[in-house]
Amino acid sequence: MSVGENRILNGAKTFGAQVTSLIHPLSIAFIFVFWLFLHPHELQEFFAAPTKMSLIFACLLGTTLSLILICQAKANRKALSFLAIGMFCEIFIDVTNKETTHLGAENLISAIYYYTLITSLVAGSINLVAYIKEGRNTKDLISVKDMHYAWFFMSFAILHSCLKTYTMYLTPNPAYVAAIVHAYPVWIMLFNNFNHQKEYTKIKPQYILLLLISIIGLIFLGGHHH
Amino acid sequence: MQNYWWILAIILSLLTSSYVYVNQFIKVKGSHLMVYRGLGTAVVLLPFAFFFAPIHSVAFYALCIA
Repeated sequence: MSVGENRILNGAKTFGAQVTSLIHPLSIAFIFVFWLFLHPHELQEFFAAPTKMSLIFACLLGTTLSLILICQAKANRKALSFLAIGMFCEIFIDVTNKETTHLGAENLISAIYYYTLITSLVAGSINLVAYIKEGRNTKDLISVKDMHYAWFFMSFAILHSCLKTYTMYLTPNPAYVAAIVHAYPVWIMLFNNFNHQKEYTKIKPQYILLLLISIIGLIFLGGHHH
Repeated sequence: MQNYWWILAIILSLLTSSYVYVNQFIKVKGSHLMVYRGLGTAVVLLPFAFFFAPIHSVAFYALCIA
């Protein structure tokens, strides 16, 4: 998790945000395939209904394509190879998040709690070590301004992790959740457009339409089959 | 509830966008943010560990640590 976050952060600094914007959309289809690869019985179910599988795959690709076009994400080969590790980490995070809900199904509330606690502890520790290794001053970590807002980020992290883990438990495939969650930049862009903020970016309505059709398609086709 | 995963996914998406939107104004450094989100969250959650029964699967903990 921490390796993935670092890759995205450093990638954005080195290659620009347009490059890192590719990671989330591109990971969606890979999450879908990786999950099926780990659960062959679900793959067999899909092969038994090829039309449904094709439509779901089309919706996932539609989401990926629309997100790339809306966020104007692009990258050269050098940047992509650098970010491949970050993308792999994103895939691994979502797939293992769902897998832990299966392993901890005996007590789902405890599983959600321990998942949030352990992943936070490990990711935070590794990020702290990386921070110190980069020669940065640890006193900066407790700056008054940043500490003032720390409660907001901690509350968000707890709420986000608990809600995401429960959603992962409910969804048939983690890629469906990833497809919807990774659309978050679009809501910010639409909000900025609506309020005519400085970051105003013109979004082609046909891209929004493609995104909405793909997401609605996933919701209807996804259904539930534990 | 099992068929309504998408409602929670939409809430998650909106929650993430509000978080990113707010950070556009607060502008906390990314490296600080990752430490707060990680260690800060763990410190807040750790005292409640006594209230939650442990999970008996070793693989569960292995995947969490990975």
